[in-house]
Amino acid sequence: MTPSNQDLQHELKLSVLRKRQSGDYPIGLEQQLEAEFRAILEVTHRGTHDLTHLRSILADLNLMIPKIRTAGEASSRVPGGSIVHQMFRRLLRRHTTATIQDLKKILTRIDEAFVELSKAIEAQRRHDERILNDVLGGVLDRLAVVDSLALIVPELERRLLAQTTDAN
Amino acid sequence: MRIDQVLPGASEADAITSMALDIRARLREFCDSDIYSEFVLSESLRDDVLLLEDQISDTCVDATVFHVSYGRPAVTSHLLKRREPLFLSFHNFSPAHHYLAYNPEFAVGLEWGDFDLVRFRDRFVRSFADSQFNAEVLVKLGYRDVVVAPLGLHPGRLRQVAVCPSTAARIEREFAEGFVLVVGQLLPHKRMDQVVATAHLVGSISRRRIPFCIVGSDREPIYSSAIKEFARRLPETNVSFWGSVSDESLATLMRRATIFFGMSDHEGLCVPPLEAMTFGVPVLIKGAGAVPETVGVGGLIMPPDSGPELASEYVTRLWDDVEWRADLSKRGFQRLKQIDSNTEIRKLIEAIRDGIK
Repeated sequence: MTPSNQDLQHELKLSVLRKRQSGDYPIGLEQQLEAEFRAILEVTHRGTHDLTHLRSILADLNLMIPKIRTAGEASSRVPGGSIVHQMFRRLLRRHTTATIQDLKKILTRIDEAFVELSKAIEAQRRHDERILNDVLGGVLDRLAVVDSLALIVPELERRLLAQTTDAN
Repeated sequence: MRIDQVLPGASEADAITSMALDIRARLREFCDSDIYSEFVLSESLRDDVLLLEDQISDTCVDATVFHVSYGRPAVTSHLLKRREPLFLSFHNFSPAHHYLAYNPEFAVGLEWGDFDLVRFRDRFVRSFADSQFNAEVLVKLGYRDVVVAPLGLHPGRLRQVAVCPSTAARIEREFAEGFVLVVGQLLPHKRMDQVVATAHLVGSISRRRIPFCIVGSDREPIYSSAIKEFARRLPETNVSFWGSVSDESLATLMRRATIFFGMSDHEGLCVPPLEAMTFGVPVLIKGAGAVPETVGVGGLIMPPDSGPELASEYVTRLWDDVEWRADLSKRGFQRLKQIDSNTEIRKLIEAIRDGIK
């Protein structure tokens, strides 16, 4: 006779409770396991992003900003067309110059912001590397201490044995 | 008459692509029909799924079925330009918040899918949802008369697939005493961390050497690495990751599995437990999203808030009870009898015929 889903669920929930009370499932075990997984996820290597491409885009942007023009080409294949274009260009320039200047200023600021951001990323990376090197240095120092202690142990054992033999 | 289908993307292991292929086969019995997608990830599908820009003019298409599970601006813009009647087949979205940290682009796609549902709501002549759970999502977005029909669902497809000798040999080598099978992509909402934690508790607290075999592609490299590292760090955790496998391998695993197990937090339909049932494998699964209605009486459904402690109790109990596993296996077969893919597709075809009259 197989149990019904409800009976079984009830029975297994009781079993979990009993194991929690007996300490088999320590209080907060599930949360602890989840937190452990989150911690692993946090430090899982996310790949190294090369900033070269970002730098090249920023360099392009730097070159492009001063080249933004206040009006288009006035040349025309239609006879007399270039005069009309030049006329309109002069008229339009009166209105667009200020806007273009503002746009250039904004783009320059954006460019500066990106440059600062890439510098901050570089600085953070150097900082992280320094911390990692410090931690690694500490671990290696401790390992060296453990190594030297391990070398002393046989000597201590030898002395202890000698003393025990003398005492007997 | 011509009825086409549009998907955001297509790949071999994708359940929605399989559904679309199945629907096309039925549609081609009485009309012209093709499948279009913005991108096709599997070379083997190149002849079956065509690129979106190749869809013929809307004046020559009587209806297009739009499968929504993810959003792509190119698909939205393609459909916005077309004038033939549109039919929705909704497969739900994975919760976007799970992906913000690992794959923001994918998270945006999920949100875009939501946008598509709102954008096209009045363009859809009729809307279909895989499950009642999915239908309720549509109703909340203002959809009316949603038809619940898991279109193109063929749980028995793996029954027709041959045994893979190398997989059978590996199973013999690694899982001679049986194993717990978990099928699902390594994605955050599938809660593979809880599967690993369950395996750990089974090994360390219940003191049982029960192997867990996780099958599914590594869609998110960071998440996958973290899951594998988690399994490595937890002592007495007997979990092996098989990655993405062929249908032959999957069918072989399902033939030999002792228990099918799942801890997913979100499912719009969930086909793998049904596939496991076709091999008589007892199903033990967390009852999240559409799982209770999909699995029905055919499996053992854990409460949706189950954690690894309760799950490990279920696993060990089921592992030890042969009689109970046999009963669950029978119940699985009973559940499968209730699924009739042909009826569901007929509903779609009739709705399209009504809609384009």
